[in-house]
Amino acid sequence: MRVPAFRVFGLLPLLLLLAAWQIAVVAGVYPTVLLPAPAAVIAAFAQNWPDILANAGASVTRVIVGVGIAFCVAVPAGMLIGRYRALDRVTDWSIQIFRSVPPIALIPLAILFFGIGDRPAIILIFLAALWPLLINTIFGVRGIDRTMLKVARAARAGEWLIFVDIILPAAMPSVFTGLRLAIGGGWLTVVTAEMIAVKSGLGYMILTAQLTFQSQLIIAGIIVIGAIGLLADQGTRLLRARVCRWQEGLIAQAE
Amino acid sequence: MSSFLECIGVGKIYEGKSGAVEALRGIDLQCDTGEFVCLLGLSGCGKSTLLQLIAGLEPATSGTIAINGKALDGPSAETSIVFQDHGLFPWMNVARNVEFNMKARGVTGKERRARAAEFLAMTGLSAFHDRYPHELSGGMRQRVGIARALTTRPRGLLMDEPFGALDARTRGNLQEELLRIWETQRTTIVFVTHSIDEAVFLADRIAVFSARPGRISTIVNVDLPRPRDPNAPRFTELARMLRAELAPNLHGAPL
Amino acid sequence: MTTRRKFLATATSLASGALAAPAIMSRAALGQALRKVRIGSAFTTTTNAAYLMPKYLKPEGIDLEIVSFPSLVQRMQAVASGDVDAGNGGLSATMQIDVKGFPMSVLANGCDGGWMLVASPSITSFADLKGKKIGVQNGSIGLVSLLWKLKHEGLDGAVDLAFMDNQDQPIPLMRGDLAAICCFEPYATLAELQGWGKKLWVPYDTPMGKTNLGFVASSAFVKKDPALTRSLVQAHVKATNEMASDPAIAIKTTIDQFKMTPEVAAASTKNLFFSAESGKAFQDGLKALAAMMIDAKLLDRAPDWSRFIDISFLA
Repeated sequence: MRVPAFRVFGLLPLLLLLAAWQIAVVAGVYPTVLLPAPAAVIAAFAQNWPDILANAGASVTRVIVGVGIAFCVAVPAGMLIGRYRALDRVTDWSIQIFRSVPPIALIPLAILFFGIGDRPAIILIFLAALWPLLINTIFGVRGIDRTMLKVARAARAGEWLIFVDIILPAAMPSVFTGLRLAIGGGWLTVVTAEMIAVKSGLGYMILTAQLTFQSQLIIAGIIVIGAIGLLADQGTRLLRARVCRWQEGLIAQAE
Repeated sequence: MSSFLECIGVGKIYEGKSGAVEALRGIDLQCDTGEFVCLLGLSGCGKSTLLQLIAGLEPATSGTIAINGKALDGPSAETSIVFQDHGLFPWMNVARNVEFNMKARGVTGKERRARAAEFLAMTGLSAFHDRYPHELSGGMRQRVGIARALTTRPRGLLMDEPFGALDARTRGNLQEELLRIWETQRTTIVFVTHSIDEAVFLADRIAVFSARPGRISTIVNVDLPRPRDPNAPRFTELARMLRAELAPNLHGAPL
Repeated sequence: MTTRRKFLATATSLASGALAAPAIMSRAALGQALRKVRIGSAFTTTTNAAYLMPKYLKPEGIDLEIVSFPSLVQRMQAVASGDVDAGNGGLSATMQIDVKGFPMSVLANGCDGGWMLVASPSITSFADLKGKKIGVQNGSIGLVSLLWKLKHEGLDGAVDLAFMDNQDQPIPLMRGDLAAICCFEPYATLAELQGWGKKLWVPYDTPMGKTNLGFVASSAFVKKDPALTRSLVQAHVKATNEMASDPAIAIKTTIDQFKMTPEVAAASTKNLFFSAESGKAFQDGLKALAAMMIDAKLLDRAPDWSRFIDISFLA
């Protein structure tokens, strides 16, 4: 899937922002200790790129682990809850309650239950990723065409076969929607999660830069975070297009 | 000739939000082995409901249904069903779709592929075995549905307005193909339709339904020799008679 | 000190503080009743003298509003953005932004001390900390003192520092995830009184001593309105002296604001040394702090002392 030419227009707002930023710096609107010049940020990249790369890798690793665990929990659970009404009735309120809690509020509890360092950080990312995956999987299962399930039932197919051959593939597009949101949410949480005594990561790098007033590093970190977020999103889209190729016929130009 | 299907006093009541709805009342119907029986009626007269009960997809609220002398308890291994909206799995190609009902029975891979090839040939789909449903026309999708239903060598084929969504020409082709298959396989066929011409063309006997509550008002023997000519005087006469039979439904209670 | 959960609670005050119009309203016309002035402070035990200031300023016709930030770092960020020019300031952060091109003036001392090293009961000496984890707030004065001490105990690089906010440190100490915490009050005393650890080190034997908090303002502000600066500094001194003379005030504030028990509040207050004493001892402490920060790579270079320290308003 090539990036269509018109998508490059997506760079336009960013270029405008860059221009506004440079103008603000030249005009001296804000103290440079808080808003450095674009050139200073570029210099920070040049000076610190090994560190930035290492930190990016650490954060990405945590998100992959957290989202990965969330996927392994949410998809099976979502399929079961989506399929069996009774399960849905039992879990619905709990899901709605817990999904509304922002991870930052859970930090003290995370420390109490899971200690400090990578473990609570990954748990927080896991939680941020869990809800969109779970809810979208349930949604995907619920939306399965009734006739397909009737075909399976009339053919006396066993539950396992129905899950593997029908429910899982049918729900896949929704699962991917959930995955996109989960990766977004997990990535958003990584800065918060890295407040708990970790020694690496973009969040850690940004927090430390805040404390030492190295604003060019803060901005460098923000840029990297944004770029990775974009890459992750595009990557998920590509993956979905591949796995759910069969959808092409059903939906005219799926998003 | 033994009776393949026996419905005695079958009734079905649905509990709706605005009270109970009696979809079927006192259905008595017998089908001999190898017979082609049509269930004919206008929308809402319960013919599809009866088919669902025979398919074992829903339990009857009263009366008994027996297949080959055995009372029904869920979907029978001796029947297969074909739906109007085909219920093909978009993520499987034609061959995999056709193999599904066998997979549900635990038929081994090699055997499945062989039998699928056999029925694909019978329905003229051999060249399309690796295509996906979204690449096929409506008529071809129905053929796939029929092939899939036949792979388990059912003694009874249940068809719920299978050609209703197709254009006249395709419908005609498929009707003739179905008769050809029936004449070789000699399965009992229970075929639901609202088209009088279709019923007269295909069936040995026609059970005419009236609505509110759904019941069989009359059963008509179609004593026309095969192949049938829709222009023959006896054909048109029968059609006219059936139209009159259904007319009270039109002018009677609002549908 | 970053008090992250308090951030949520004070988000609205932050929004109104950081995004609002310039802190100092345009001068009131002569003869008008009270002049509104805003100063900045932070949610720590060391800054509470600020709340005693309004009453000293009212007779001068100044209506003082105190804008409290969740941490001293955010407090300094607000200074740099021009929102709240004068007020309490962590001296380490003040030096950092001064050296980064935003001139600041340290006008008076505010509060000394306020932190300590509490170690798990099984730890009896610094040597026992080798290879273990110590919790400390990143970028804080606690960290600066700890780094110096570790070097001098020969443990440079032999200890794993776990960066976390002060209020989060007691629990891991209790759980055993941390062998010690270099923590600010009242959380340090809380950990001690709960029996989760014992005081291992009173951290004031480093060159910087007890240097912690001061009363600071951007140099631009001082230059623009020396009269107001004098009023504020004088009120700060009076308030600080009042705090120092009567521990009950600090104890009560710790109970009210931090929801600590009277016992913890009383004990932690003993580790706070409210003082506006800005003479040689204070200034030497500042210079030593700068040297230690440079050594720990937390500061690029020392500030221009002749400009940075401005105690002329104390007279």
